[in-house]
Amino acid sequence: MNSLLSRFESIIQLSTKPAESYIGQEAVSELEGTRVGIISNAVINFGNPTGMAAGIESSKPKMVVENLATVVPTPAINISNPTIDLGSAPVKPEVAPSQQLSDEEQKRANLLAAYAEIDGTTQQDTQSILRG
Amino acid sequence: MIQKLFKSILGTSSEERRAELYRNLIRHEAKIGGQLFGPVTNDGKREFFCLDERTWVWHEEWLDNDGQRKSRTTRYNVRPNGILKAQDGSSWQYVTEVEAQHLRDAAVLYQKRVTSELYSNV
Repeated sequence: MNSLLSRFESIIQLSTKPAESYIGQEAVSELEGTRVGIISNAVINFGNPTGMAAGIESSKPKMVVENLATVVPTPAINISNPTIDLGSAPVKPEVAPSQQLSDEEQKRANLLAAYAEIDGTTQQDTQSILRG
Repeated sequence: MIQKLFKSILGTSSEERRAELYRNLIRHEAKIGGQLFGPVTNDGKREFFCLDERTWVWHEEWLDNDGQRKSRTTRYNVRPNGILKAQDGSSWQYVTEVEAQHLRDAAVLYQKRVTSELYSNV
């Protein structure tokens, strides 16, 4: 029994290693490169929005006004948000500069988070979307 | 049972590992994408991501006035002659010019954010 538990624990520990441990750095880089290419092409596919709009106009769409029809993408920090008074509130970092992650460390942290094992309870919705 | 558990943790092949990593990358992109449109309420959730070269997905969850959990998934399909949209499995409709512009702006921001925060070493 102890042997089985020990084996199980070692597997659990193994599963927390980065993806490189399983499929190699080359494969990880290939996957990341694939995503960059897809996103780049997806943006290119928008082409000339004015030209697209002409096609849309001629089709006389019956529009459901929701989401992107009314919500404009903004930078993550919305300085026009009236709840944030930048004039009176001093800007104070939440952690000491020495504790802040460097850009490289933050990128690495983000990648490791992406490599992390599936959290079935919090990501089920996205998973169902991906599976169609 | 044990085998099933091991399989769920380790997967059975490199291909499965790659597929899982690919999905995880998109999930992480979706979190970054959900931050492009300003704050979300504490009880809400928003994800926005590029599924493939033609498809963008917006997923939103919120509590209505009765405290019931609601969600809506919007898919956008970018075609050469316009952008089609479907919500929660309803029929496809062309979006307005304004919405097309918003989506394009969001896509450009998305590309910048995920490139700098996830894929800058590629």
